[in-house]
Amino acid sequence: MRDIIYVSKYKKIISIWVPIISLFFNSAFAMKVSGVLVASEDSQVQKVSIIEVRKIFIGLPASESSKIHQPVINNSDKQVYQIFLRKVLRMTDKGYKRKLIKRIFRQGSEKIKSLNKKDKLVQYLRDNPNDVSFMLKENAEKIKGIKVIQQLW
Amino acid sequence: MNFVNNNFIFIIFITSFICNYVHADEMQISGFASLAAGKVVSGDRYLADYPKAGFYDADLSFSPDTSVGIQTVANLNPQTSFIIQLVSHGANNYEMDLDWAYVNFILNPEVTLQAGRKRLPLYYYSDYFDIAYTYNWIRLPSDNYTWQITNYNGVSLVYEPNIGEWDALINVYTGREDSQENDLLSALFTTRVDETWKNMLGVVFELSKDWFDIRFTLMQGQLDRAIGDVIVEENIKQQFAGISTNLFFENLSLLTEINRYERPTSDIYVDTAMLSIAYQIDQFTPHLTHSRLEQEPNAARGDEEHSTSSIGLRWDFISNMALKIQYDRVRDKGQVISIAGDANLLSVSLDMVF
Repeated sequence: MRDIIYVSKYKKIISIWVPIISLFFNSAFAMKVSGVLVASEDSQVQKVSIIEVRKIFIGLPASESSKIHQPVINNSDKQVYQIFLRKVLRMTDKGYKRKLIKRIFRQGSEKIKSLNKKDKLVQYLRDNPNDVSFMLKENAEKIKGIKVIQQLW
Repeated sequence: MNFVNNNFIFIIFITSFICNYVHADEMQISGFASLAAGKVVSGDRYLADYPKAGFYDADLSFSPDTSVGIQTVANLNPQTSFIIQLVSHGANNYEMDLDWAYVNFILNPEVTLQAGRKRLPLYYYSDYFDIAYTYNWIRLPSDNYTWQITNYNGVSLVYEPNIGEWDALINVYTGREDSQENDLLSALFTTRVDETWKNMLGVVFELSKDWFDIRFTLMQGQLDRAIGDVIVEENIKQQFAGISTNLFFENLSLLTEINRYERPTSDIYVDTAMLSIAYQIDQFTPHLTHSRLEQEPNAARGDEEHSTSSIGLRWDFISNMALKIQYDRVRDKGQVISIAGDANLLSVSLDMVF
């Protein structure tokens, strides 16, 4: 009987503290690392406001002066994707998906490409010079063939 | 329906024509599908889909809520695209309906002008009525979505500015719709009813943040109606107003919608309302909903009144696919205008977007 009570208490402690600790580390990670907007090194993409980055990633067209063709969602690093959602798009994953589907069927917006392999993302950006994505600054600076357009967070 | 039958070949021709002139990269195809089955477990009939008059009865049926749609977007140039959405509804014997066919001009990143055939954006979910994947229910709360005219041919201007941290949308539209042998009215009057909504002028205003959105809608126009070959209403003024607010917390969502329809010359005033609460637990989203329609009794003995309580579960078992089960209990209190009587319905569906 005592064992059951101990197990139950143990479960309760885990269920409360694990999400709190995980949230803390996620926030600490987000504060420590910088995220950047990236494109092929051959691109003509110009620096834009964070508001415009947000608009482009929710399916609105880019301004002509930005030279941005299409955004690409970087799903190769779930943690970076979550930070991008929170810091740039200011929405949850569920809210973002809901918004994209609605725009596709209500306004005929184009589907936003999502890639979940880093190599594929890099190759895609190289092949499509005016498309943009996001990644950690420290990673972007090490990858040949792509360049940092601007800091996002 | 006649519109589609008469124009289906023309649409295919136009689509093929555009495809020939548009590079493959500039062509996009999206789609959605709902495979649904249901059975009235108590009562005689249940009207699941008002616009298309999709009824369930005591026999297991797959038709009323099953639909499949394809949307093609052809980008003619960076500013101009042509959008077509063809939908096949079980409630319409799987005939093709042309729900959308319009040209989209991007005037600037925040303003677009659309001309052609579109959904009439009266209600919060009007634009996604057939895309059940976008909501938790198997079908939209029936008492709330009782419109007989769902589309219009006309012009629409959409302005999407940012107001601080809020996304805003202002949509002004104008147009008309001629519905020959209207599905809903012909079913309710048990004879051919032709209906026209004309000189429509409407505005939709939306304001949203991740966890909150609010939408206002207003439309006024005129109505013509012929029952059999007899014109019973002509140039009758009508108006529609609505407000909906949705709250999306981490796992909890609260959805509300209130609408009012008025046709003063005919002494018709109808109120509809809906309240739904859902809580997501990993891949599962149980939900509870109550919706109602109430017509103010008038001299013509109009007394339509019905309400539905629903309990359901959505299971997002694969990305872009959801399995749903729902139990609905409708109470029809109309004495003169009774829609289908009291009934309880059990239904399941598989919804997807691709």
